[in-house]
Amino acid sequence: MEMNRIALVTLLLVCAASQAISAGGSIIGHVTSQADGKTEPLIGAVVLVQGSVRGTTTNIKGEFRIADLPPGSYTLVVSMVGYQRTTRAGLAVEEGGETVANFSLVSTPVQFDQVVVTASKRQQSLEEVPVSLSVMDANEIRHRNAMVLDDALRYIPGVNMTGFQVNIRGSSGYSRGAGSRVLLLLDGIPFITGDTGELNFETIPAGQVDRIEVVKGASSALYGSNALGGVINVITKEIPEKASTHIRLVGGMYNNPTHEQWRWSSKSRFFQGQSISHAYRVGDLGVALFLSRQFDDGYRQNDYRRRYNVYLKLREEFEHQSALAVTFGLLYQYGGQYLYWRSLDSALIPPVAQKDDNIKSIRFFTTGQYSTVINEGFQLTTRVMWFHNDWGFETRSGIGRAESVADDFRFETAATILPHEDHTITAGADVNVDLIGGDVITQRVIGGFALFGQDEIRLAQPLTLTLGLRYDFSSVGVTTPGGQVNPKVGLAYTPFEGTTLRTSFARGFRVPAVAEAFLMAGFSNVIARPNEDLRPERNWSFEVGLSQRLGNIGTFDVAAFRSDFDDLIEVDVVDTASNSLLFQWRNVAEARIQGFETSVKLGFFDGGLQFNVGYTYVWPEDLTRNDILKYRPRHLLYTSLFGRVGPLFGSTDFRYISRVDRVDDVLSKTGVVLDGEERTEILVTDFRLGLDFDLGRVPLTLTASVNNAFQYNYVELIGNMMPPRTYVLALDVRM
Amino acid sequence: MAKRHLALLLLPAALCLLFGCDKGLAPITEDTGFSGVITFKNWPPPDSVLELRLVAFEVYPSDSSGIFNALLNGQAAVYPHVTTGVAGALEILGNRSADTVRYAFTTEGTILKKDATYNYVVLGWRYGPNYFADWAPAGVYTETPGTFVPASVTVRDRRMRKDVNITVDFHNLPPKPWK
Repeated sequence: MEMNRIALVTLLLVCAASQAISAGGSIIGHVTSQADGKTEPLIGAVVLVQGSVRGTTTNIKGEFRIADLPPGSYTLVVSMVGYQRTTRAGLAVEEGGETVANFSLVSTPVQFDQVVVTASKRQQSLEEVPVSLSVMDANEIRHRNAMVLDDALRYIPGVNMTGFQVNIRGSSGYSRGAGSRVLLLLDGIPFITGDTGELNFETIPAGQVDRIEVVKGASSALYGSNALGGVINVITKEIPEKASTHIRLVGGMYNNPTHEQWRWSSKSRFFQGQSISHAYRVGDLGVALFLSRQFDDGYRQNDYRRRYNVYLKLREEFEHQSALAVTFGLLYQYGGQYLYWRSLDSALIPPVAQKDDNIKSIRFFTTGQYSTVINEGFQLTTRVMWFHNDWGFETRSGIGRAESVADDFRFETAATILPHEDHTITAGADVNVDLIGGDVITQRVIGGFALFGQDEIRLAQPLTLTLGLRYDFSSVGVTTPGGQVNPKVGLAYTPFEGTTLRTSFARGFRVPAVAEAFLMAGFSNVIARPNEDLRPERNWSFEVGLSQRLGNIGTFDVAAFRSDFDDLIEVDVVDTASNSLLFQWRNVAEARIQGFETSVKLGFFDGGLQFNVGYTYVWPEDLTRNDILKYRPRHLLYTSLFGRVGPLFGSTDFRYISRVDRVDDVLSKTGVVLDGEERTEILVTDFRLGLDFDLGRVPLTLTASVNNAFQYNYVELIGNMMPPRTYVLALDVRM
Repeated sequence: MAKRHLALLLLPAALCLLFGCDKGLAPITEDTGFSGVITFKNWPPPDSVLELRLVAFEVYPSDSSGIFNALLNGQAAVYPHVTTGVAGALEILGNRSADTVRYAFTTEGTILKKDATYNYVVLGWRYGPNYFADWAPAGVYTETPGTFVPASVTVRDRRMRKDVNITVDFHNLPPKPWK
């Protein structure tokens, strides 16, 4: 209650402060594109005032207006995905006057300088950031028919999944669903479950995602706990100017298993999903509603899933570039609980004792975000969130029924300040409180607060130094309450147009998830034991990289990285009595992860043909045991090819992930997971073919996909066979 | 330049063709048991090699009655199984003259047990007509080269351990463990 009052007062103060903006002049104009000799308005182009916090996007007619600018001379930067960024300097603004600046953007086959927001909690060009950052946009997500967002992450260079856990450049490994060394943000707000500390992608409506930004490397200096290995920021779509409806129908089936003895069902296994979203505006209020349901029979026995999502976004725009956005999301999901196979000979059915285990989840979140421009050099953004997680599982053997309930409350206020033309300061504070209950983890209240600041200093025109510092105080109660200071230094140097050298050195840390310290439950014969002595884990992360444009046809990027971990938390077996495996999370290792990554993006024919390739080499050492770290593949090679001829488009993805050197051997050695040591390299190829067409005046897109086209049998996680060849048909209808 | 671009564009297809047709994991089709190579040195005269059998004991036999008890109650397994006659067994295990013999001791056709650990794997040599008394160990499986310290072999279901190699030197026989 006290926190709500503080948030309300802050919002009121900010609203009042925003009124202090003095009237001035405006810059107006429109942004168009030239295609096939025709001029088309560009909707949603980003228009930024350089050296200021001001900016806007173009409306349905491609028009923009930036009002209340003090008299002076301004430079506008206009950018949009698929077009070359355009800069225009010397736009004079007079008191009460309107300066007109029209832009005609030239399309580009490869995006050179996307606008990103995750590296510094503010909009900036990708070429300015001192860290490795990858972007996947809505089209790429949609083309891949990703039912859940983590499916799309499997195609980002340097990222691989182990089950549902994200691994960026070898940082994460696998920790049985508890804790994550990658921080997930939803529109900039940490989106991690309060109890298990995991990334829950299912709650995020994939159909409402505009893009995903992935920062690789420690980012705790800006984002705090969990950002040891990187940050994934899921950015939802803006509400369009014009009312729009999008219906998406997806259906598919799993191919029969390669080997007859794996076939456990005489029926074909299907999945289907339907979603509808509608967005409209009433004056300055924008509304977007998204509903979806997904039914999946599952290709494995007792691996079925029923999922329902609701998402609502309201955005009210006020004067002086202030806006308040409120969102609400709900997930209701139930299904079987498949932990691992019976054996490799029965790779698609669980052990007898687990064949009726089930799990049910109700998760919802609500967020509020208010941003306002106080003056040309001061923008304030305040975010609040409540994320509720209630999940329970039932096992026929073992502990029976258990439930975990967690409520995560977060408040953050962050300012972007431009005190001088050579300084861009980002500073703020955040508070989080988690209320944990249920049977799985004993009831408790935990939380913490943080103060952070970052200054991007333009030392010379092509050289930018970034200095950051964050102090986190955590009262997780794992040991004694404690603080943590995380510094960061970054340098971006652009000696020539299209060439950027970058380096960064940063500290990361992660407070153990509540589940890691206090979980005392298990599925079947795999049972967790609490460890109240668990300490936070920390790392130092270093990176040096080069980004180079390849004329007008592409980009090349190469980076070398290294992270040194202290008190790395790993799962350790404490007992193997009675054919059960008792385990707990412990600070067991010092580790070093180093390697390099390189990627090439090429585009031809105005983006009609695009080719991407990314290779990552990781050398993950457990320095304590003088061994390789578990669940870290050393080689990742991803390629994708996309082509479009008129309304017809097609694409193919290929992923190679080398065989993981080390897994939890004890699971197989103790007989808990039979044949658990069986694993192989991963070689997966997907093909897609799509057609854009109109039915009457309604535009439709039909996409047919064959995922894992060569039916390669592999595991990401011990004893968990991944899907066989899968046929997917999707129909998108836009009105 | 166009050729270079074409090569890049064809890379995914080439990778698919190179790697995509491998099917990855498959059900395990291996036999259950262990195998290896027996190396013979200094064969004695053929008329003193009346029989050879590879025997895997769960428990190290301390006396001759222990050997037969182990065989009778299933705590020891014989290869080739006793249903294979003497001549057949000799032929399988070197035919009195081979330098090396590759063998595979599986649960198929023997009483070797899966998920059991055999602590003494020995090549038994019958040198005389007394079927119950004229046996001596000719070679023992060891992981300590140059010694006769027995090493254990665990038989896992659908797994064929392939490195259970035994050296037999008829001029340097292992000690007889039983009285």
